[in-house]
Amino acid sequence: MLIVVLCFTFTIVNFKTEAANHPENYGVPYQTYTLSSSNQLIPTQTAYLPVGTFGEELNLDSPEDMFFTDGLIYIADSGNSRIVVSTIAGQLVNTYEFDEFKLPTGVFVKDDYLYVADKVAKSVFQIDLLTEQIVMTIIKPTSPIFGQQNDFVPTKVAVDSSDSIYIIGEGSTSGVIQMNYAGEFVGYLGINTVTLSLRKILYNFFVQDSNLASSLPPSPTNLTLGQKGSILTTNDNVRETFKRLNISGANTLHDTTVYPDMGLSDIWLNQENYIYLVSDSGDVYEYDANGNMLFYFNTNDSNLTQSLGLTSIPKGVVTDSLGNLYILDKGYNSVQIYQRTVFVDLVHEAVTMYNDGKYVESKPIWEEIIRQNSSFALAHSALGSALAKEGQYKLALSEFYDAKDYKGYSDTYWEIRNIVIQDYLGAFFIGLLAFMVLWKVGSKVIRKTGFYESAVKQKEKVVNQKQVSEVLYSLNVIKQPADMFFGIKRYNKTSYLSGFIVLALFVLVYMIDMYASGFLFRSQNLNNVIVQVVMVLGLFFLYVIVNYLVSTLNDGEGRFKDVFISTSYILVPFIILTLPMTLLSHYLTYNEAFIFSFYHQIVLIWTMILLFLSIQNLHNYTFWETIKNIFIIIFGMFILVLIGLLIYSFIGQLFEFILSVIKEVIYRV
Amino acid sequence: MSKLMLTKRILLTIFVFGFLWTGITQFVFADTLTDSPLPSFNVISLFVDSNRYTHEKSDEIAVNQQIINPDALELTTDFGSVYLDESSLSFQIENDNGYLWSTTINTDDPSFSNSFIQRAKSAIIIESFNTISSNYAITEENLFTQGTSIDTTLIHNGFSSNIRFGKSSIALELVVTFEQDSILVEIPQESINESGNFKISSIKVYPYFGAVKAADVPGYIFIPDGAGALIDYKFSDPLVNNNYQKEIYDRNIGYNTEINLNQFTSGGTHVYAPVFGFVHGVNQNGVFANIISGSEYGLLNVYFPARTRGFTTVFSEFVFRKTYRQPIDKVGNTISLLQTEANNIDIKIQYDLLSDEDANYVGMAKTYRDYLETNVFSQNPETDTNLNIPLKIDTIGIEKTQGVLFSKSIMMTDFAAFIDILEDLQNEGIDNIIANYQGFTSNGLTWSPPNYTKVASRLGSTKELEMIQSLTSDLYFVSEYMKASSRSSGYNQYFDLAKKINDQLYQYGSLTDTKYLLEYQQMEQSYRTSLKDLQKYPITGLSIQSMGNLLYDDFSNHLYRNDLITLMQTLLQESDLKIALSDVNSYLWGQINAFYDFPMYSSQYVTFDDTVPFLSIALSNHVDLFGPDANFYPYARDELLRLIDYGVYPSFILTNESPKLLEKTSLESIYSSKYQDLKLSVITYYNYVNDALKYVKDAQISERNIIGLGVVEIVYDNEYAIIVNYSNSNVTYQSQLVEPKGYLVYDMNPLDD
Repeated sequence: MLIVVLCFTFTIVNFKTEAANHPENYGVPYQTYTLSSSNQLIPTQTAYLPVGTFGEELNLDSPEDMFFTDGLIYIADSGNSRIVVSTIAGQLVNTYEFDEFKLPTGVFVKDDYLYVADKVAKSVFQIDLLTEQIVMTIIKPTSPIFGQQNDFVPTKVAVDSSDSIYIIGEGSTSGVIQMNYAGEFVGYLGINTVTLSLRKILYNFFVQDSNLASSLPPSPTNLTLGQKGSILTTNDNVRETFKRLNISGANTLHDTTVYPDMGLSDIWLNQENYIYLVSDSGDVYEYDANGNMLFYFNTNDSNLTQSLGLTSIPKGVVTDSLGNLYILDKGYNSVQIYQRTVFVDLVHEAVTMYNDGKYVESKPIWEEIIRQNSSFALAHSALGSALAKEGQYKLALSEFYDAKDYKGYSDTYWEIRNIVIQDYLGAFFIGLLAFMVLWKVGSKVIRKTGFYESAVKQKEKVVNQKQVSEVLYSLNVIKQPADMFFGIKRYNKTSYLSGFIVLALFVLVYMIDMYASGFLFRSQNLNNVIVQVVMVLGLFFLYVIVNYLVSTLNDGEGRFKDVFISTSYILVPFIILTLPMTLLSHYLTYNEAFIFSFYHQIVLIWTMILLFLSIQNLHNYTFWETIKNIFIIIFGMFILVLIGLLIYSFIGQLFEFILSVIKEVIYRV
Repeated sequence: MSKLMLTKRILLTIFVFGFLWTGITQFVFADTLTDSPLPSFNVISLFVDSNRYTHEKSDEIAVNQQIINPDALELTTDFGSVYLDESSLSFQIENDNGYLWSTTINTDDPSFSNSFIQRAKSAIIIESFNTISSNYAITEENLFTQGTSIDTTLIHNGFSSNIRFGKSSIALELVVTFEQDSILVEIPQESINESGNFKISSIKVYPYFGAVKAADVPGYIFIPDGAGALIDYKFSDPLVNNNYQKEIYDRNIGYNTEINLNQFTSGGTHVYAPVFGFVHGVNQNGVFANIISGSEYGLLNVYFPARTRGFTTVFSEFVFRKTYRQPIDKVGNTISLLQTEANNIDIKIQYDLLSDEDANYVGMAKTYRDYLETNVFSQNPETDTNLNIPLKIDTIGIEKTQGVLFSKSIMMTDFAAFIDILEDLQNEGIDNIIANYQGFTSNGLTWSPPNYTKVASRLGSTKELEMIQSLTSDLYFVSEYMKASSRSSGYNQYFDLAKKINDQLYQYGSLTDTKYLLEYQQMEQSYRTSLKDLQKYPITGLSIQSMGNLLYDDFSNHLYRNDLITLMQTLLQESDLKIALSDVNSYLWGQINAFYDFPMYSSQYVTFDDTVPFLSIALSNHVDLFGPDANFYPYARDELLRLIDYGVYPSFILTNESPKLLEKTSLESIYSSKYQDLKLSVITYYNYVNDALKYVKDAQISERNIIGLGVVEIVYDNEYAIIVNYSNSNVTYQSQLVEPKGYLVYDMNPLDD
């Protein structure tokens, strides 16, 4: 089990920098991004260049969906209740209008049949393209599995190679509706999971209304065919905003996938198995087949300038055989065309080779990509894998380090360590033996010399100094904690100064552990040092104060000084034991992660036991009294924090009120 | 075994292991440079036509859409006869081709409402704020508004009218004079009188001059959006929702409540010069308008047919006052207030009439070039003796960012490393380098503004700097005086920062700091101090960021943008060092030796039909033009052809270290700059452009013709022609082959050289 917190932050860097490589200088109205090693978006070469727009001939009105096949684009022109067929240059080829069409929102074409999902007519129509007649109408299934109360509101449709029809229904929380070629209901596919948060549990507990506190999973919103029989769906209000479903409905994307955080409006798989996504707010994503994000750019026309390449409400995305991208814009009733750049071809070539397992062949292409963008994390990671395959472990390690690819780094490091161990094991044991012999002989010899006696005397003098002896008294916590607490309480063996010294040591060791742990075990977000220190110390003092306050109410015997010193002294095991593991963590891989986590858990448990003992011995409680006391302390800390926040916000409000009165007086008078 | 021994054994094991580890951890970041070709340059990608290119225009003859107004007053001027309609002050004039120019439309169409006809005929449309009403309602008036009095007197070569508008009682004087080939329209500032409760918001001048209904007249409108854009006269486009309106020189930033002005962008490029024009019949009749005075507060408007009963027209508008939101508390509540003092605007527009071969955008550019040569370019252009074109190399010295405890300093390229790069390039045959050194102070590139007094000693010695100067044609240090970084010293945060009209500070946020704008006086002081201190270093010039295009008002000191323009012109004129600016507006073109980040595109709005190099033709051979950094080209081949087409020189940003060191700084948008990685592209791209432009290095563009779809012919006055072929097909020119995505340099007079 890994202690390492793998948090994937996904923030859009929207700081326009001072450097003059604004994309407008190159005729592109948006900046293109890729993922960096910390899963942040970083700028990169333009992937798709805006080259045109069409739609004047087509007279679209609020189109909702788009499909491409055989050089023709099929658009669901919902506002005009028809399907429009156009060439990729925007010339009108045909329209399909039927009285049965009320609000067609989904369109799909397979083998001379056109499938249309109509939301208001609540049917899916199958139309023969040659005869232009409706050959089949699918309405709400009567099968009991479908559910009698469930409404059938089809919004999108897709048909796979075996002519099974997949339908996205609005509000169908059980997933994608699957039907066979004849339109008979087969089952549901790909239900979304519901995350049970504390808030939901509390809500369910207090509010008994089943309607309000429902935890129905969100329904999928769009779908397209994936490769090798899989289905790609998009979802809203879940973490996995798009999924690749296999036959059993499980999401087969890598778990390291960074999902878009917005709801998506369309998804498309191109011929080379790359996934394209668009959202209503103009985000365009490109992923490879496994879920690695390759490119992102945002085409939202926030200034309403109607520039080439900017959209209002994108609802559909398709690509043609040359790799050009087409985005259907519901707001501007047009289709925007984007041309693929050479950089994308390069990335595609490298990714395809890599996914096919041709690591070594893909190596020169990854190197070229890194030359063009030194922060492209996927390139570093893939290059690392290629180098590792070739046996160049040192170089591979540095690439994985750049990519923050922990798994790759761990595996490669294991190889390097393995080689070192095999090479040097013999020499190591010889050295160890020699050292032990030297130690035994040497210690005996040194004891005989006068130097040793004077050194021992020096040591005694130092140790017996007041401060030093007080601090060293804390070492008793390892073997005789109860005696130590008693000594603190009754015999005044310690002072405030020694407590602060030990506390300072603790903070120091904590900081060192945070920042100097091995690469694999270091936490990813290292906030400001000051914030860390303040948080840790704040918690410590909060506990000490509340402990003392509660103990005064519960007949505890400890004074404030005793509570403070003993709480800081119980941190001694942490101080002593953490640093060796910090050092060792540089030489461990994830295979030995158990050692790391187990070790830290032992230290934690030990400290917790000591905490319990400190309360019990210091205030002279029985076992059960200590338990009760601990609960009250926790509650007390919580209350104190709450009060602190209230006071802070009240003062803030007061201050703002005075300020606003002053400002208004200045401006009005 | 005793406990002590066990502990010792464990510690020993760890110690020995660590000793061995140091032998392993020699991280070598190997140079994995393999000889792979440059795909961004070598791959020939498909040519897709769009408004990024210029297209052939039809040569249809433009036919008069109006007849001479029989009720008009005929004036005799140097130009010839002018037919003036006294009730609306619109006029008509006939040019040498017999084409009738008119400042109004043909009003015979019965579908036009009266109010539309009045608006189309009126010479001036004025908008004013009613200060009595609570939300400052705007009233629009024209010369036909009830109660308006027009008192016209004929003067030599023109007329002058005193106008008093009916509703607002605002009085002003309109003076129009007709010279031999140009018309001068003036509204002097001292003539404007706001006696009542109405205060002027904006004035539109001759809004329907050259207006065309649908596609009745073949031709186009030219606007200087970015490099330059053309809009054809056409039928109403259902996809077009909005008219075009852009503030000249860039969006005014003094009237908003934005916290981060980096996000307050208008989208697209901005307008660099206060000009516009229209052509009725290509190579037949054209008008080029130049706003000589008042452009700092000017707007360019283009009305499209969907919103104006089928007419397309371009005109200028001048803003005198704006309302703004004044925040009154921290929550964000605001009240609406009106700017009390009007802006200082002396409106003066010169319309030049062009005909025959000058009646196109090239003719307009040449007319503007003549104007600049007379009024702006004081000295003769310095010609360097080098036969090759210059290459601009930007580099970064030090950049600082927030580290764990203290701030971290990142050294990207020190002097010694830069010398290596320059020597390496010289060995490859590139000997005309304009070096631009950024981040030369110890506070780093982002945190230094506005202090630039001392070169960081970590970078190297003055001897090395002299060596750099000897290896380059010009060495510029990059500085910034208008913005002050929150991480920098040398200014007082309470007294020295400029404020917007609502007393807020101008703020620009970046990843590692916040920048503020300085008051004019403080900016001048920083500039002078810095100039004095930097002159003792062996540099040839200063490149000042932001000064080229940033215009802001210093409201707390009652100083405004025209004062800033005058101040900048004076400061730069006095400088002994050369000056290079980025993205420069026309008011500073007379003071610069080099123009960086030259716009190669327009805003590419859907309504534009062509992109044309108006700016580069106007500046041809007067200022060295350098394009945006080639590191970030989407597709290098097309961009390089565009450089050759426009006559612009290439530029690179190169560093010794890899830019992944900049990942967590404000410079994270530089994703590729390592010299070793980019060396091949620098040499290839430079040689590609040099092999074309070295022949025309000291010549001016005299013609630019479109000879096919994606094929351009540029003719220079030294009788060389360059043919650029953006398309995918072979093109034959004078029986020579121009390859797809290639160019040809053609010597029109080989005997002459």
